[in-house]
Amino acid sequence: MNSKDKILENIRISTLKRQVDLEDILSSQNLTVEENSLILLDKFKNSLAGVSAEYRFFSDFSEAKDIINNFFSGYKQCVNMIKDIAISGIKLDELSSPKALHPLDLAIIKGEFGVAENGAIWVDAGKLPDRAIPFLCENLVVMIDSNELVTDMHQAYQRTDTSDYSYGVFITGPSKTADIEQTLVVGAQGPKRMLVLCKGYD
Amino acid sequence: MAIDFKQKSASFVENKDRSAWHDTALWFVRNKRDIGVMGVEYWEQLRLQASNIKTHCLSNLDKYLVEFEENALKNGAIVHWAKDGDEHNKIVGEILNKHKVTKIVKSKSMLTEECELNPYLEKNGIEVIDTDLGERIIQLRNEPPSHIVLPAIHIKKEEVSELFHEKWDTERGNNDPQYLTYQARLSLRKDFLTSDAALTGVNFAVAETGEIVVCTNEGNADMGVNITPVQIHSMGLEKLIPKRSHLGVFTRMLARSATGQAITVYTSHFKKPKPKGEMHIIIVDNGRSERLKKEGFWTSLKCIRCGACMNTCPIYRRSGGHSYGYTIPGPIGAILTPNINLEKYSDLPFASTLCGSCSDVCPVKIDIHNQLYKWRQVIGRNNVLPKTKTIAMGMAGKMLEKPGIFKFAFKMGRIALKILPDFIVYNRWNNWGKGRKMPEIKKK
Ligand code: SF4
Repeated sequence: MNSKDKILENIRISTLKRQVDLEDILSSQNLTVEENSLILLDKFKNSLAGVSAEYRFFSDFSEAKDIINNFFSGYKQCVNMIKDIAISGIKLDELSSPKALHPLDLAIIKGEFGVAENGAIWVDAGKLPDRAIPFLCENLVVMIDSNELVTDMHQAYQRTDTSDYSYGVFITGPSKTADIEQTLVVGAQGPKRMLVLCKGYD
Repeated sequence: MAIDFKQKSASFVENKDRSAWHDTALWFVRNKRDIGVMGVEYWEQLRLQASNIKTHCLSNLDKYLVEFEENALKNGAIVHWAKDGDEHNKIVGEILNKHKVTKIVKSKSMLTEECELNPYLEKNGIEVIDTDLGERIIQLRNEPPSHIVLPAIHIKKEEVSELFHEKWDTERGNNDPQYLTYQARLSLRKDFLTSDAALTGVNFAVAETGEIVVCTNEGNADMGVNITPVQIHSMGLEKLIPKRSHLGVFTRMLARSATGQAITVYTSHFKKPKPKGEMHIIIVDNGRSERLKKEGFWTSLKCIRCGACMNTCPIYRRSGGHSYGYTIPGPIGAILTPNINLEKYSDLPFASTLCGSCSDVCPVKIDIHNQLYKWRQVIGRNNVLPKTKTIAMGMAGKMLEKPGIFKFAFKMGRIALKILPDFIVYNRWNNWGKGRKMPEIKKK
C-alpha cells in the first residue's frame, strides 16, 4: 500500500465513528457588521495608517503621476503596470528571470479592492508579467478605486469567490518584522514603503 | 532520555533578569492580542465557528483530503503524501535533486522543524537558508526555535548584534533593531538571488479549490516562491479547511491571536504554478492520523499555530521555550508531545498550573488545560510519572479525597499569592517556586 492509502485508511478508523452533520455545524451566523460607505472609507484609512501604509487620493492620472514622483523622487528602475499613469518603466518581456528585476526601486500595480477592517488590498498577482514584482521592489504603489471597499474578510472572500486567479495576495502595508526584541521594523524582506493611491475623493 | 523540565528550565529561571525580561516581552504580546481581539465584534462567535469548522473537517478528513488533492492536481500542482518525517524529507530531496538545486530558501515552517529537514538536506549537500528573520537568527546560532511564531523571542538584541558582527562583519556594538534588520535584509537578498528553489509552510489548505494559503509579515515566502522556479509547500494534513469562505473566519483570527495585528502583511493564495514553474504540495501525516484516533485528545489537531497559549502561559513565560525540549513548546506542545513519546515527554503535562488561560485565548477552543490534566492521568496510569511528581501527587491525592481541605488550601493559596512578597513565594524551601514562577491570580 502506498503512503496515501495508508494515511487515508488510518484516518477512516476515526472519521467513521465520528460523523458530524455538515448542516448543523456550518449553517453559521453571518458575522459581518454592515457599515455605510463613508464609515467604510474612514475605517479603511485608519487601518492603513495602523499598518504603516501611506495613502493619497487623486482625481486624474496626471495628479497620480505627480504624487508618485513627489513621494519617490530619484528612483531608477521602475515597473509600471498602470498604463494611464505616464511613468515609463523597464521592459519586462526582455527579462531572462525574475532575479533580473533586482534592484527594483519602484513598482506601480493595481489592487482590486480594499478591506476596511484591516487595510488589506487584494492583488491578483498571478496576472502580473512577473509574480515577484510586488515583493522585490523597494517601494510599492498600489492603486485602488476608493469605491471598491468591503467591510471585512468574510465579504472579501465572497468577493473573490468567482475570480479565477492563479495566485492572489492580500497585501497589508509594507513588509515588517518584530523579530528582534519585539521592536517593529518596517521593511523586512519586501518593500520598505507602500503608498496606496485611492482614486476618488477623501 | 526523558525530558526533565525543571532541570532544563533551571538555567533560564536562575538568570532572574532574563527570565523577567522574557516574561515581560511575552506579556506585551499577550496584551496586544487582547487589544486586537477587543476590536472585533462577535469574537466568541468567531471562535465557535472556527472550532466547528475544524470539528467538521477533522471528522471528514479522508473525504476532504481526497477532494483537496483532486483540485490541486486540476490546478497543475504535483501532490505528494508522506507518512512520516523521513518520507517527507526524502520527497523534498528528490525534487531538489531532479532540478539540480544546490541552495534552497525556506520560509517559516514548524513542520520542517518537526521533520528535521534542514540537517537531512545539508547532509545531502544542499545549502538551506531560513529566511524569516527570527529563524535566520536561530539558524546562525545553531539553535532550535523557542516559540512557534516568535522563534528568537529568547534572544537579546545585543546577542543578535554580536552574532551578525561575527557572521557578516556588521558594525560591532550597534544594537539598533532597525540597523540589524537591514543588515539581515541585505544578506538574505543575496540568498534569494542565488537560490533555485523555495519551500514554505502552509497555514490553510482549501479542499474546495485546491489552493494553499500562507500568512507572513516579512514577504519572505512570496519572495522565495516567486523568484525561484521550483516551489514546495509542506503541510500537516490537519491544515485542511473545507471551503474558501472559511478563510474569512480564520484570517480574521490568526494574526489577532498571534500578535494582535488585524491580519498579517501578506496572506498569499497559491493556486496554480507560475508559468514555466513547478509547484509541489507535500501532505504529511507523521503521527497525526494516530492522534486523530485518541478520544479526548484528537481536538489538539485543530491548532492553527497562533502561539497565543504560549504568550499567556505563566510557566512558558518564565521558563522559555527550550525548556520543553520539543519544536512546539508551551501548553500546546505539552499536549502534543505525549502522543509522540509518552515516557520521554511525561514531564511536560506537569509544567502547568492548570490555570486555564491557554484554553481561554485559544481561537479554535481547544480545551488545552483539560487535556493537560487528562495526560497526567494517562501518565500516572502508565507508571511513567516523573519522580518529583509522585510525592506531590500523593499529597494532592489525599487532599482531593477531602474536598473541604482542598477548597481551603486552594483559597489560602490564592490569597497567599496575592499578598505574599516574592521572597516568600520564591524562597529556597519552595521547590515549586524555585523551578517555576507562580502565576498571577486572575481577577474574577
Ligand atoms: S493551541 Fe490554540 S492558542 Fe495554542 S497555538 Fe494552537 S490555536 Fe493557538
